[in-house]
Amino acid sequence: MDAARERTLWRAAGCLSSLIALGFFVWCQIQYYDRADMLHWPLWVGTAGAFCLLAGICCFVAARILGAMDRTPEGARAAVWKTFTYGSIPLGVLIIVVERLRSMQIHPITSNMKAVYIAGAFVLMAGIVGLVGERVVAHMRGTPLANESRGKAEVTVA
Amino acid sequence: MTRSAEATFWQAVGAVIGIAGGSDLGYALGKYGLASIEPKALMLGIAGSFLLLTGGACYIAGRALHVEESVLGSREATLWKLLATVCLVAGGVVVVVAWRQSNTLMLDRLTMGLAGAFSMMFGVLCLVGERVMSRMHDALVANKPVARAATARP
Repeated sequence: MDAARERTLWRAAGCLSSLIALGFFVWCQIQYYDRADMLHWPLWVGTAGAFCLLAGICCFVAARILGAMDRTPEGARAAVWKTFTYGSIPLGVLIIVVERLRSMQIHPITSNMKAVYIAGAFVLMAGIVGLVGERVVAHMRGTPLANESRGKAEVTVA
Repeated sequence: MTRSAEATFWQAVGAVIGIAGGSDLGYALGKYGLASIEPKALMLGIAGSFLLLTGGACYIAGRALHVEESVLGSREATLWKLLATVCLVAGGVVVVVAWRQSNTLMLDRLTMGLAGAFSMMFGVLCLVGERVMSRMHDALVANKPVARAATARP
């Protein structure tokens, strides 16, 4: 499989995973919006959705790195990735710290507390995956690839 | 920072965070026992799992950046794929078992499901990392004249 096709494949996997996550979140909202008696089920469904979303983000990051290797121009998407990355990390920390200050205890007792802590950790984790991808992309864009240097060498020899 | 230096940095960060996560899980296991659903044990377990995931992501990124200096061999690539497969299959089995259990506490099932999902997520990271490393190896190393000559040598 060539790199362009694999990039499309990873992007499709990311879209699929994100759609499944969206389905989980919407279903959770519809089913359990005003029901306080089944607090663990929404947590189950929401966590499953968050895992799917995180897997989707990993797939998108892989597609982005493969794009950087092909020298595909990113345009406005680069700014979107930067905003996502540098926004998610402080946001995740903020969610955890605010919940800690609000509840005054580090160990979650209620399902709501568990949900907020887990949500904060997922946002932080998404930011870290984005940051790691950002650094790899930055290095790949700044490095001459083997086939490029070979092309240059052939031109010089000619 | 050069690519090699940053690769070492990410690998070191990944190793430290991974060891911290492993220690956290070990502490929870030693103090509260296997698969405890006490709030403190659950919190420690989830925090340790997130730390392991973060460490894994950082380490894989460092390894990918290091692929030009220390070449990705076919055996290493196979091992990464194997790790990804084991994590995905084992995690999937645990999630399905947790989902189908009906005679246990909901929190117990949630904890089991979380453990399986973390395992699957680690598998996804390994799979993505292996593909990226492999492509980076192709782009940075495989087409170089030196590498080709080395490959051609008996």
